Amino acid sequence: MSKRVLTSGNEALAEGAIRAGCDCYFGYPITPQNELITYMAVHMPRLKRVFVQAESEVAAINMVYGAAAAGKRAMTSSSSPGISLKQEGISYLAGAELPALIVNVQRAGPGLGSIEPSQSDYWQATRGGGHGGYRVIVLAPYNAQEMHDQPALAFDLADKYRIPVMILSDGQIGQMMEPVVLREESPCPPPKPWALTGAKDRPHNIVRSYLPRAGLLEVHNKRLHAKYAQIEKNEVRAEASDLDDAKIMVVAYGTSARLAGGAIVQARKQGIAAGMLRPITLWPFPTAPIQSCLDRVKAVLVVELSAGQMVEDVRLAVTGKVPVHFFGRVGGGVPSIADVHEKIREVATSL
Amino acid sequence: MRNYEMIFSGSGGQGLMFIGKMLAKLAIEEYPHVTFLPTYGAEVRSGTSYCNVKLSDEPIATPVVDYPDVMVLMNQPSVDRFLPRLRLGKIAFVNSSLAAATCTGVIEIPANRIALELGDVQAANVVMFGAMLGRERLVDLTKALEAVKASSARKGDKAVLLNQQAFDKGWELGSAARCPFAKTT
Repeated sequence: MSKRVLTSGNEALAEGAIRAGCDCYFGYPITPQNELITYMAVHMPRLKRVFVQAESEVAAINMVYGAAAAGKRAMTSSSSPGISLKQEGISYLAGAELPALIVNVQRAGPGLGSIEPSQSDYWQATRGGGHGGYRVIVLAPYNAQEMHDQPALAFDLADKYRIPVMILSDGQIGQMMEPVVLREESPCPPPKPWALTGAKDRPHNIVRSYLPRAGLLEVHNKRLHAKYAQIEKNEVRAEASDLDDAKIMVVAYGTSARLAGGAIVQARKQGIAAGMLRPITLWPFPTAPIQSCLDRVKAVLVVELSAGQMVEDVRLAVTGKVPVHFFGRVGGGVPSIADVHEKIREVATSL
Repeated sequence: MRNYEMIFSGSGGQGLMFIGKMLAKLAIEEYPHVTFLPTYGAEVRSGTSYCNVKLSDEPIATPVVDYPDVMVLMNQPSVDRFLPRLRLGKIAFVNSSLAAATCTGVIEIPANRIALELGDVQAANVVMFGAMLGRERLVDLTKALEAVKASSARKGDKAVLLNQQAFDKGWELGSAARCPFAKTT
């Protein structure tokens, strides 16, 4: 076993971002992601990198915009209400095609809600969240190791496609401590010839989302959407387990995927052939991996810590070929493994 | 297959998060899967502060402990809240200096009194930690004692000695504890 350290998901993510070459962190405190900003406050200055506790979430996301425009690997983190405040800035990042990492350690809403874990920001994360019709890549970690590993992937994808990337976690994954194998430092990212680094001896670059001349914005939007199509083609990530002989396919991510995994173990002991498809990218959504199972499975069960948001994408993928069931808790409620197991049994008896 | 689920509970400041985390840190050397889940937010500052620890040979689906194998309960509110979850054959270590609980499966350790006799009530959590490990043997004793000493090294030799004595005294009581109907884990 390689050397493991016990760390919270939030701290694992912070250290992962540092090792992924994060140059600048801008944030504003909010539970349940405070360990992340605290870790950055301690370690970024020590490494002579930029840490700013901004005056607000809005300020923080606009600092990310500035640093990203200057070609730096920049990130911010918050929890649900704070992420809502950042949406205007995320829309601007998307419009200006700036790479950036935004971390949402979700808590329950709506409004100020509570600090308990939730997955009720799925729509906000995968539908763009802000105005204007754009996409951000959304990654969904389900343990501390993925919290640690995904910032590197996020920064690489962000640079490759010049797009904001969101890591959509939740309070339980963020707060829970688990053993983590620390990753190597990422190599230096490729140069960014488009960045605003001073135009001495070269033509000047422009970074903007404001394109007021007639027709120009439509061309820009078409190019953005061609890029999104490329991402949908190339960057889908999902993990399949126990699906080869499964009659019931459970689709779940993050904390829900852990619960579903435990429930599937119980169900299998009773002879119920259940398996799981765990989306790792929520956008692009793993439509094809789900569809590839539909000739075998007889029913799909979606488990979320919400009243049902991802289930809509699952239904779009399934296109009515098999029944799609849903189980969820709302407002910070987290089901037990027994609850999810009971739902799997219910689906099994309906077959 | 090894699978231990634990709750450590006390009032904020009694150091229950601290020993729960210390156990989890020690356990990653010996168990492939370990989770530690603290309560977070307002609960930390008053009332009951508690954490869930799981050690397992199998992947851990949820860090939340519903029915613990082992509990360490440091005050009366913790006993009131968690003792009803004690199932037959499972163990609760109760700080009998501050809480009354005499049902089957309870091991009473007068942790505050012992810590006071040793010189500082602050070491009561370490007494309980020693007692719990003395009976349950979940991790290596030498490493546990080293971790306890290392955690107080920055406060000077006196603190290290205090914690060592607290751990040893707890271990002695835990090792000797008889508990009818309880299985040794």
